[in-house]
Amino acid sequence: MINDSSSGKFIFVTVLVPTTFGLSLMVARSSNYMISWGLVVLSLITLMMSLTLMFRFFLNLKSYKKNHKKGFRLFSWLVVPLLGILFLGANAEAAYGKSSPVPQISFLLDNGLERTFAKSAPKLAWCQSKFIRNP
Amino acid sequence: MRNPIYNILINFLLPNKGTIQEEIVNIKTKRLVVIVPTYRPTSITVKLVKNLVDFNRDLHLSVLVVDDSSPVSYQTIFDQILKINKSKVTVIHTPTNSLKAGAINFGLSYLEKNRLATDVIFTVDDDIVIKQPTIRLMLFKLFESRRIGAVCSLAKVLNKNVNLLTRLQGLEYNFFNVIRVADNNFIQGPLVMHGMISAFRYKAIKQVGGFRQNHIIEDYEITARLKNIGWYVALSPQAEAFTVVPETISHLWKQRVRWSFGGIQVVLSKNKLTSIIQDVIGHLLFISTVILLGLSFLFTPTPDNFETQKLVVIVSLTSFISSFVFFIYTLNFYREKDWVDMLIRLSFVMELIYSQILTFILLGSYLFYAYTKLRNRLSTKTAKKLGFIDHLFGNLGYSQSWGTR
Repeated sequence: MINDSSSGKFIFVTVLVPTTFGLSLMVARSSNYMISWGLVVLSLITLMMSLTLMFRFFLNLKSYKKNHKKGFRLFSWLVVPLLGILFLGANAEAAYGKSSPVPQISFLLDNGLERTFAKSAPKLAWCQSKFIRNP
Repeated sequence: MRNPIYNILINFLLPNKGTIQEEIVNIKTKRLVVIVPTYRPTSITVKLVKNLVDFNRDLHLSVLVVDDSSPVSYQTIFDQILKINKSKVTVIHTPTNSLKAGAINFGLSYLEKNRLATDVIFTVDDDIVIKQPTIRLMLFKLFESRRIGAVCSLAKVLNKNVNLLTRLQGLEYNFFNVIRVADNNFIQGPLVMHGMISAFRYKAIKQVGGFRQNHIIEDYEITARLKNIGWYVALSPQAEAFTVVPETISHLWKQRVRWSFGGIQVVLSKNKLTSIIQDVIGHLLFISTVILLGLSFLFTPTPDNFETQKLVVIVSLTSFISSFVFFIYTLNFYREKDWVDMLIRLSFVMELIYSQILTFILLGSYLFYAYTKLRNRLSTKTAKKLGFIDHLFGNLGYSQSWGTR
């Protein structure tokens, strides 16, 4: 038998990431300032863990080198630009505002997600009033 | 000497040099014993023993099959096993059923009693299939450095094409392998030397006193103890072994409940932090996130908090997208994949549902662990009143009396 699913490495890569992603989207609309920062820090640690794992994987890849050279190139072409766009988009908006020269993440968030949340907001408010006690 | 915390932090990005090739060892001079603990063996067990002997004729390898008190009707299979090669294969029988760890320990004490000189012990499950070079590739890795005490193979799924569940497990096992590659030379090596097939230096296994019986997941437990006394462990990235995975939800559920609860037990037992660090990080991140999400419903929302909330979403999205792209990339290492596997991975939904089921199992394990600790502190009378909770956990597969056959 192998029992890695009990281990943290599995949790943060395949369970925590989607969970954080899905739930933080939900919480982001109704949370406290401190909680939001807590989530930012946790998501950042998760991201760093995932990225360092990927990095170590590629460092150790020489043991696979003969069979998988093409794969490495494909990954570089896919991931580097993708991460670049995401980070630049987020940072450029802060620096340049609406006149940012790179694609803006916030544009997507402001338009797509906000509209989705606007629809679900009354339901969420109703759930909160029914089931959750605010101090 | 550098600060150990500094070393660990550096290790997240750079592999340590603890297991770099030190010397060339002639593996043909090493005396090897493969212990095959078995209960109700099948034709796969016979084939496994045959392959072990046939594939390694030029090595000093003998196979010790430990029958863990199988019913008498299985004697014909043991006869078939003995016929393979009487000089290289031995069958012994435990007096009572003692589960996998007990059976391996029985084999170890047999070697000691008979003063059979041994350099390396292989422990294997009785339902696996190996490839021709598996054993020697693992040996090369084991003798790469004097600090390596144990080595495991890649874990692959034999029956992955049976249904959706087995395909999901095939993809999952492939990712386990990827993580093990990443963890080679990370602090003291991968988290678990899996029980499918692992090679141990005889000296190392004796130092830790063999496997611990009555533990739910003995392979993780022994790996942690080896690391506690300074041994490194490693994956042999070209050695392959195939196993049969559960084909129904109920079997998978039981198996994963055992793994996740056993994992928590190992993390909370007295191990060095460096022996279980990957697990500790994962559990802490998971628990912190769950707590924060819970707290967010209790505190009053702060008005005009949109910028911070947006940051949460951006970081989570980046984390999710980078992991997902990496998931897709790891298909490169899944040689057995077909278009259905690729479709499952690309569509993402199936794996998301699968991982959420595992999340529920993990949450259940936390609750069960807390409950058992609380129950042990209660008086017998009060504990009896909580019988219905035992019953509830029992129905969900949580129990303290499992072990690997």
